[in-house]
Amino acid sequence: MPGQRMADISNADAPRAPQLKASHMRTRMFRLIAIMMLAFAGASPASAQEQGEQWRVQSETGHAFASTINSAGEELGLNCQEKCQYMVVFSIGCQEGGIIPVIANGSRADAVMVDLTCHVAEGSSFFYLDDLDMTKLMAGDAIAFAWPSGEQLISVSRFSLKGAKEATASVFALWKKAAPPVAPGQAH
Amino acid sequence: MFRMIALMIMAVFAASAAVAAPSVQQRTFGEWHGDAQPGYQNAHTINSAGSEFGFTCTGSSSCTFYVDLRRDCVKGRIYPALISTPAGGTTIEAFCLKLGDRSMFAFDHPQLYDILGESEFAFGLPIEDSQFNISKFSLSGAKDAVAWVKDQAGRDAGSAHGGH
Repeated sequence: MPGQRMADISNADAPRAPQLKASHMRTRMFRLIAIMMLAFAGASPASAQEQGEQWRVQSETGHAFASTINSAGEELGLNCQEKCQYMVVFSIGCQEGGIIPVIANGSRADAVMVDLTCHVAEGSSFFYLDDLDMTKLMAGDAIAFAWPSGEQLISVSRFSLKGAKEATASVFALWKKAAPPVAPGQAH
Repeated sequence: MFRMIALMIMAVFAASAAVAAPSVQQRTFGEWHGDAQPGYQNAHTINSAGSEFGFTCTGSSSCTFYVDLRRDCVKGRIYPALISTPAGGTTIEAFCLKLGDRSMFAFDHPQLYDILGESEFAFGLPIEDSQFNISKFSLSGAKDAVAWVKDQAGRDAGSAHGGH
C-alpha cells in the first residue's frame, strides 16, 4: 500500500482505530476504577486492604482488585466485578478504540503477540488483557510488555510478580465470596 | 511459503558471501552498504553494537529483510518480534536461520518498504527472563539501497532469462 505509514499496520483490521497519542500520562487506573465503582454502588471506601510483596489488594462488596505499580508509574492489575479482567496502564495516552501492537513476555512462558485496544475512563487510558493467557504469563517473577513508542521506537513496561500469586488468589476469593449465587451451568 | 523463500535466499546469501565473485558491484547509500553479483544482491547497515539489518535477494523477485543480532536462535523456529519507527510499529513473525556461525532472523511485511524513508528502525526480540533485546538501526540511505538491490535483482533475473 504505497504511501501508507507504518503506524497504520496495526490498524489494518480495525475500523478507523484512532492513533495513539504521543503524550505520556501517569495514571492510577485501578484506583480510579475503584472510586468509580464505589461511587456507582454508593458504598463507603474500600473495606479491606492487604499488602502483598509488591501487589496491593482492595475489595468492596462484589468488587475486588489487585495491582502493582512499576518505577515508571505504570500499573498492572486484576479487577473483578461482573467478571475478572487483567488490565494494564502504560505510560502513554491513547484514544478510545485505538489499537496498540504489543509483545508480552513472561519469565516462565513463551512470548506472545497481541493487539490491545485502548479504553478511556475519566480521562485515563488503560488496556484489557483478555486475549492473553495471563495464568501462564504470570507464572514467573516478572512480566514485560514491549510496544511502539514514537520517537523512542520501542518501550518496555516491566512489572514484578512478587506477591502476585497471593494477591490475585485473594482477589478471586474475595470476589467469589461476595458474588451473587451462580446459576446452574455457569461458572465464575 | 515465506520460510521456504527465506531459506532459499539465505542459502544463496551464505554461498555468495563466502566467495565474492569478480563481477561484484558495491555502492554506499548513507549508512547502508550495497553489493550485488549474479545470483545475489544485498544491502545492509551495521549499528554500534555490531548488529546488522539488511535486505537481500537471490537474483529474482525472492527477497527478504533480516537482522543479525549476534544472538543465538533455534534454527527453523518462528519468533515473535516488534518492529518500530518513529511513525509507528507492528508485531511480526521472524524466522530463525543459521548461516555457519551466524544466527539470523528473516522477516517480511508488505509495508516494510514504506517505512524505509523514516530516520530509524528498531527490532525488539523477547528473550529469556521476561527481557527484550532492542536493536536500533539507521535508515539513512535505506530506501535508495533497497531500491538499488531490487533493481540489481531485476537486471540479474532479466539477464538470466535472456541467457536461455
